[in-house]
Amino acid sequence: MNVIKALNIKKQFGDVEVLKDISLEVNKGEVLSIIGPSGSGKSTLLRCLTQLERIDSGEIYVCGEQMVHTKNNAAIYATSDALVKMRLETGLVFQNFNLFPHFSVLRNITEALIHVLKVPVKDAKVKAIELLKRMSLEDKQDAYPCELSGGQQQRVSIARALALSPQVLFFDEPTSALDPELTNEVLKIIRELANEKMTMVVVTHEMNFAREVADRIIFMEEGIIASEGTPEELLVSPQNDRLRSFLGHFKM
Amino acid sequence: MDITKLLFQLLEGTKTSLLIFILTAIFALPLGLLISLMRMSKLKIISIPVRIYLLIVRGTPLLLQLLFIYFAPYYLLGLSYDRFIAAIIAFALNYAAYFAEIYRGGIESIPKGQYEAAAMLGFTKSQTFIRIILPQVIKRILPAMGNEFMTLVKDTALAQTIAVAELFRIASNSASRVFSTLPLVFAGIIYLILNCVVEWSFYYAEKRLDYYK
Repeated sequence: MNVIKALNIKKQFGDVEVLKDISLEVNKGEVLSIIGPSGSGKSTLLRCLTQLERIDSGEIYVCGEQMVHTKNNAAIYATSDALVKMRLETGLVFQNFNLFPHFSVLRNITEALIHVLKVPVKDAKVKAIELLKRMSLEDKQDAYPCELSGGQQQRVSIARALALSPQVLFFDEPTSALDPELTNEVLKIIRELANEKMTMVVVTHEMNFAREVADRIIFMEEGIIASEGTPEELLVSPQNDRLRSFLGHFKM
Repeated sequence: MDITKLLFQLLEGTKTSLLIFILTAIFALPLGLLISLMRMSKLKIISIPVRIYLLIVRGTPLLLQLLFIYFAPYYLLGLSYDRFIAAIIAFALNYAAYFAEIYRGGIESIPKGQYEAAAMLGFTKSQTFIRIILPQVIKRILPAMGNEFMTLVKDTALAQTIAVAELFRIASNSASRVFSTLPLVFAGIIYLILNCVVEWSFYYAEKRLDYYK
């Protein structure tokens, strides 16, 4: 069963074609990693799948529901109610966390539970504390984001996204703003989520992590999926020349 | 010169000045927010008239605006109305313009990521603005707002141009009556005391919001 299905999606910014005919599926329980050089369209793809950008044409399905289809060359989106519902099925962890600075760690997690999902305050707190325990941050619930390290902030933002129990969690270069030591504490959490069969799509430059955790890897280049396969196929014995030269920049 | 009587008169004037100050704040703060949102509208039919309004209000003397708002209805329609109400309208419209631009600066300084994070969590546009954006805006605009509030305390003296009996008018009247500058010195001290309260309030508010960056 697929949680995300995209068919022939295209996205242009002005004259620049950022996504040229991308099709992909994300299956339930799968970890998909997207790699590729800067400007290849990885982040834009993620932003289109999470409705932060609107596509120009193509089709996207979330948990079998149609988010957008194309008729006479124009993308037609579902009703706003349906889009909100689909959005809650998809969580996104940002490169630079985007925590709410004026809320405590606990309130960063409970705010949407209480005001969007209308969960009673008490239950929301219980859920948030449970999530913070999983992130080994139970002692930080009253701290403010500015008092936390980058790695801790990113773990809070993972907890915040998980609180709404999304069907799929997207990560947009979750460790690119972190130094190597903090990177590991965030990757450890993603690894644990993978073990629990959380469906995830991770845009990353951490090739070792992709090889170890991903079930499938997509290599993007200039707005197309240039290569796709298991970590073994893509990272150990890459067939694509561009992929080979891209991987040459990483020490593995 | 009867000092007690003078002080009593000045206190009466202070009450009027204070009332102008408070009513202007009550009306101009929400009005300014509304105007700033209209100023940022993508619809030119909304944003351009607002820009013209901001230009006129910020580009002409408040003194002139007071005279216009009080006398224009009389000359155009033969209507006369309460001078105090005219003063409040003029002050509110004038200060709302300055507040609007301060709000806009604050709102535009909030990173796009805050809106995106809120959207991903399913917050509606109004929830996002009220719960996520506005609290952060308030913290950022406090220093600039403090400026405006201190100016407003002093600007209430302009209400005398349409003969509102506020502090400065009463002080200058008694100064000419008793041939002494003492009433004006007292008035100056009272303005300073009022602004001490304003300064302290903003200092306290900034401290209260100091818990995050």
